[in-house]
Amino acid sequence: ESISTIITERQQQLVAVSCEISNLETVMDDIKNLRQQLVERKENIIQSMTFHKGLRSALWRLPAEVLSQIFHYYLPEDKYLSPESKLAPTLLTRICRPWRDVAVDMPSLWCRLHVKFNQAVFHYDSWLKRSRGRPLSIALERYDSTALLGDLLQPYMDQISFLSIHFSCKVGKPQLFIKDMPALRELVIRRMDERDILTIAECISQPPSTMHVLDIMYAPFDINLLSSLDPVWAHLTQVKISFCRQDAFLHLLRSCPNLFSLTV
Amino acid sequence: MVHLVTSDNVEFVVDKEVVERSVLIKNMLEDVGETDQSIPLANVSSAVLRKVIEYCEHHRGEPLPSADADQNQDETRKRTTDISEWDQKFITVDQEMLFEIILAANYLDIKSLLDVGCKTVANMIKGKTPDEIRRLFNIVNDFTPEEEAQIKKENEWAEDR
Repeated sequence: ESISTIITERQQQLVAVSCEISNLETVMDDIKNLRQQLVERKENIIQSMTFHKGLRSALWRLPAEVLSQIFHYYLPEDKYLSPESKLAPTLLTRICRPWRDVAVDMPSLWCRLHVKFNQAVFHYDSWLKRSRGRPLSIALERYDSTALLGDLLQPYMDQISFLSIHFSCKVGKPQLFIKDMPALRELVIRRMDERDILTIAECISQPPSTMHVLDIMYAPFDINLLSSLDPVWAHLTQVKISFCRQDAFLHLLRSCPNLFSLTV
Repeated sequence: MVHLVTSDNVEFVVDKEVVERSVLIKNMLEDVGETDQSIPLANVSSAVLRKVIEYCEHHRGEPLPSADADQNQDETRKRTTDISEWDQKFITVDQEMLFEIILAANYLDIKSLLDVGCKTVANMIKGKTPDEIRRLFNIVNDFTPEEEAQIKKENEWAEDR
């Protein structure tokens, strides 16, 4: 009987302790929740403080024209710029809204473009649109579709001032459209297939009168071929070309009476 | 000598040749002629004006940039971010002072000083990621999640090709 009494007593004690534990767990959950709320509140305060500290900075008082001057100096001096988002000028559109507005509204940031691929022409188009009529410097690398080249450049023909092309050997009958580029000042052909020489030679034999620089040093041109086309190169002042026959040199000098720089 | 009074009411007496590096003050002096009256500079504090005068003193007598150069700045101005040794030392200040000097140079129309300030900020940004730039200048990323997604979409085509 005394054992039974002890068991009953222990059962009552167990219920009481369990109840205390349960109460304690409820309190602990409440404390945990409270802690979580405080941590969140602290984060909000820090965020707000950072935001207001930022607003107090003189940086926010810089007028748009000063910010654009900073961006002007930030832009690399490279003749052609890559559209990668981690590089200028695209990176400037990713910092905050005011910087994006100023960068997008600065045509001079978007006048030099290195086009590497023939896909997604419309993406390059969104870059070129931001140039808003300014003279353009465009490099086309490994371009393998004349149709796409035309699609991309067509709306900007009047703006193209410097053009460098590296034709892919896959291209069929490449067209240069340079006669439709009334502002073209410099044309560089970096690489092309030997089978396309005649097509390209015809294109460059009568460039626009604005064009002063022609660099076909690394394209396999035969000067005799150009001679037969009787190129109208009187306005060229700088030429880079390779040939192997000596008489070609004299022919070139006759075709380009205004040269002041010739690299052969 | 020219008397200048700053936003915190401190008076500076500066040589005319020095202070005329500011196109704003030069034009003011030309308009009002010889005067002993102080010129109030409501947008410039004494700490900042002291730095500006230090710069103008050092560059005293140097030719001022022409107005033509201003008009065609995008086309003709050399983009180089090189800064002379003295200017670099001069502009080595805390960030708030740097921006205050830029603001003062813009207000007072001191083109060469504005250039030094802008080049300095441009050099600070070079080679940094957007996050690093935000941290550096305490800039809040105020794009909404929708705008962030749009910008990401705008740029992802050009990545890692």
